[in-house]
Formats: sequence, C-alpha cells, structure tokens
Amino acid sequence: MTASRTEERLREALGATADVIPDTALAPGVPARARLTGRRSVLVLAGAVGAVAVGGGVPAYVATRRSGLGDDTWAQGTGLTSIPPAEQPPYFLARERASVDSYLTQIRDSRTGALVDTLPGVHGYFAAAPDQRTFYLVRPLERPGGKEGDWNGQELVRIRIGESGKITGTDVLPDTKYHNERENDATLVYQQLAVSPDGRWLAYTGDRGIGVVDPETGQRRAWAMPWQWTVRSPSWTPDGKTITFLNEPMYSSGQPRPSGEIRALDLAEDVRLADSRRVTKDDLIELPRIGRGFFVDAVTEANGRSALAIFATGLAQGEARALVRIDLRSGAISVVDGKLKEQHIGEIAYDASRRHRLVITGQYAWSGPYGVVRSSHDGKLLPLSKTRNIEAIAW
Amino acid sequence: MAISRGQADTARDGWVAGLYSAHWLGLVRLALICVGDRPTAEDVVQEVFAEVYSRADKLAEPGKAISYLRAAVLNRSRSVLRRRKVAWKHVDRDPVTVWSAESEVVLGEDRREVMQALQRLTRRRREVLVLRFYADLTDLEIAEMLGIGHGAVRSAISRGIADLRRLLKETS
Repeated sequence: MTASRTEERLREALGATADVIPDTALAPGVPARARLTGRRSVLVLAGAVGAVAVGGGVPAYVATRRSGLGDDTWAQGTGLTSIPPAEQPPYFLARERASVDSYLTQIRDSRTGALVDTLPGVHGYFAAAPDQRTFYLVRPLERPGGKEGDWNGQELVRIRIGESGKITGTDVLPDTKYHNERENDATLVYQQLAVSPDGRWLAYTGDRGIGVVDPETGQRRAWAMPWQWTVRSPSWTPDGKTITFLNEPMYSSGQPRPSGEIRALDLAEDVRLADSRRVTKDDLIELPRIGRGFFVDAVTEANGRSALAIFATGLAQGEARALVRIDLRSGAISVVDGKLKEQHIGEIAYDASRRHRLVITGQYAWSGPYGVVRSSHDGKLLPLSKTRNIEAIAW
Repeated sequence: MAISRGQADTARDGWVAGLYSAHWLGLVRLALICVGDRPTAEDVVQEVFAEVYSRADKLAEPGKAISYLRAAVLNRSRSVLRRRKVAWKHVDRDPVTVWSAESEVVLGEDRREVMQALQRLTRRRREVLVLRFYADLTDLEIAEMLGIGHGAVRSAISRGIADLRRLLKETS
C-alpha cells in the first residue's frame, strides 16, 4: 500500500531528524529560571575566554579596527577594555532577542553598552542617520483582530533621541504604509534600510527590489529585479551616488547555494536594476583555504572603492565565516581574515564616518552568546552587551 | 502538619528538575522537528521549563505533565514559525534547518524531501502527523493535547498522509 510506504518514509524521516540530537546530548545543567536571565551566555563566555587564556579553544569575541584607510586589523578579544574616541556616535540602536519569540528595540550607550531607552512595540530592521540623533525603523502592522505576529503590512518610522540618548520623538514617514493584501508591489516591502551619507534619503531593499525614499515627503523611486532574485544589504557609497547591494538568485534544493552577486546601482543613470553593474564575477565563489561559500552581508568602505563582506561556508552549525574585501571596480576579492570558525560574525555596522564599526558575534545565529564589540583608538577591544542576544545594530 | 514555604519550593524544584532530566531530550527533539534547528529547539524547551517552573503549583494533575510539556513545546514552536514569516527578518538570521539544501548531508536526500513536504502541510495536519508518527500518541492523546475531537484527528492524519503522498509524487 502506498499509504503505508508514505507512513514508513515519514516515520523514518522523523526519527532521523530527531537523531540529529544524539542520545548522549545532555540537558544544560543550569536551572531553567536562572538561564532565562542570560546566565548561560555568561557561563559560555567565561568558558570560552578561559579556553583562550590557557592557549586553546575558541575565543568568545572577535572585532575589527581600522589602522588606516582601508587597512583593517582583525583581532580576537580577550581582556577587553578601552576608552573610545570622543567623535564616535554616543549611542547605537540594537534589537535584542528577549526570548525565543520576542524582541526589544533599544538605545544603548556606545561606550559601555548600557541600556539607555527602549522602544515599545515590535520593529523590524533599522538604520542610523549621520546626525547621530535620528534612526529609521520598519514597523510591521498587525492585522486588526488578528493573532499576535499576524502582520499584514509595514510602515517606516523615524525616532529622534536627545543628548541623554532618551527618545524625544517618533513619527511615521508620510506615504510609507504598505498593506500586503491591498498592494502587490515587491519593491514596496521594506526589509533592510540605509541612510544616505548626507542624511537626505533612506534606501531600502525589499523582497526583490530597491527603493529610495525622501523621509520628509515620502517621495519614492524604486527599482525591481526579476522575481527569481532576492535583494539585500543596501549600502551607500560615501559620495551618495551609488548603492551597492547583495543579489542572490533563487536556487533549487539539492543545488549548491550560489555565492550571490554584489552589484552597484548608479542613481544618476536610468537603468533597470537587472542592468546595474555587477561587481563580483562568479556565481560560485571559492576562496583559497576558505572554500566555496556565499555572501552574508556587505558594506562599502570609507574609500568608496571597496566593500567589506562576510563570507560563509559550510553548514549552519559548523559554519566558518570569513571577512573579505571586494574591490568595487575589478571585483577582486581578498581575505582579511579567514580563521573565523565558530565565531559567526552576524553583522557589521559602520557609523556615518565609516571609521568605526560595531560587529555582532556569536556562536549560533539564534541562541547566543551574542556580543556586540567595538574597536577603540588604541587597538584594544571593548565588548558591549556581552550577555545579551543582540541581533541587529545601527549607529 | 503545615508545609512551610521553603519546603514547598524545595518540592517544586525537585519535581521540575525530575521532569527536566527525564524529558529534556525528547522535547528538544520534538521542537527540532517543528522548528528545524537545534539552537532554537533548545531555547523553546528552555522557555517551556521556565514557564513550568513559575506555574508548577497550578498544574493540577502532575501525571499529565508530559502532555502539558509537549503541548507547550508545540505552542512555542508555532510562535517561532510565525515570527520567522515576518518580512523584516534578516535573510541571514533565518537559521539553516536540518532539512534545508545546505544541510543535505545531515538527513540525506530522501528524508530531507519528506521533511520538506511535511513543512508544506497545514499546521494542524503537520502537528498531528508528528504526534502520531514521531511521538506514537493515540488519537485520544492527540485530541486532548490539541483540544480537538477524535474525528478531526483521524481526518487530519488521513488527509495529511494523502497530501504527503501527492507532494512526494507517490502513486496510490
């Protein structure tokens, strides 16, 4: 009977999936209530740092610092203390994963990581403006009368903070509401945001397109890719004339995951997004000693000629990640640091000057320990929010 | 003899600790089948136990604790899956599930196909099939856990298997 065969296959597949966690797996030995306070992260962190101190194992944090234009040093963090330069943005915006299914959007102090203010409600991706006092966020709209988490639209929101870092005002950007059921325009779905260097424009990537919005008027210009492509990681060049982005074709299960392209859209030219300039040359990129992989994130650098990208290989839980630099003219890729196994760099956020970065690190993409680290003027490294599950940052 | 608050707390700690050591592995595996990646599955179970700890004195029938725990794991997993659908999720933040193309070596092609097909079923049918063919629960137990009738369980199993057969392109 075919039904029996289906049932057999199902039973076997469920058993094999369950066996991914072997019988020998042990429950964490920390009482449940205590672990919810974040103590697990502290324990893992302490263990990892301890392992480094005795000369082996995996360090808990990594961070980058600039030692000149486009000249970066990658370091692993142990015993991290420092005082940041005064010109760095005083606050950063972070999304903390408070539990397995809830998130908090927060203002944090860039020098200490201390929590300064929290935004009520649920927010999506966000970006910081160069004035160091304004942030833009995507706010999902819940279906009226629907269950929690049943979103049916989005809008763009601006928040302003004062000298103390406390929120002083919130407003919805005009004409930026989008309802999934009423509209069918993929270029209108907001995912990631990036503010132009002069602060006048807000770029966003949607499901398969890019848009630029004037926050004051809601005036918009949008570009769409063919449906088989996804678009993400928008980043302005310092002159504000070009937006670079990651473009990934959909791929069939069983096929190798394509590396994705890094492309550059020149805003002055009237071109379709599919005809924008392709920076990277290969569909499946293989780097010496790193292996074949795909791009996770990319940001243009202060020189305007290169982008830093996170390059990932392997499975999610044994994944190696590398920091690479891509020449925006030639597409040449060089490895800045390829020894990042188990570090799982999640996101890099530059401040408006592009001289300072925040980096999210963590062992797993979802369950921490996450850390936000920043670099300092003397090359020492400061971990921020080390016991928090920070998932996204902007400053 | 009156029981002091300290004694009650100790009894509760012991009871929850017993449940934890006896059922942690099975529940994490159940959560893994639902959400697809181990870190999230462990978090789901951890939060379920934290909730149980805070409400232990309200669980009227300790004998049904495992049933309650399974239902709570299913609830939390649903919540995780709902959240993952939110458009604002960073592409990179979505964990690679054990049945995704990137993890092919973990399950093998045939099992991965079955698990992918299972994810395409309606939530009710998927959960009922998991409870029947993974947890080996009876119709009655499944009905109690999900708060639905026996008929609905039988119907969901039958339709779920038919859906799977169609998705897997098996002939009847």
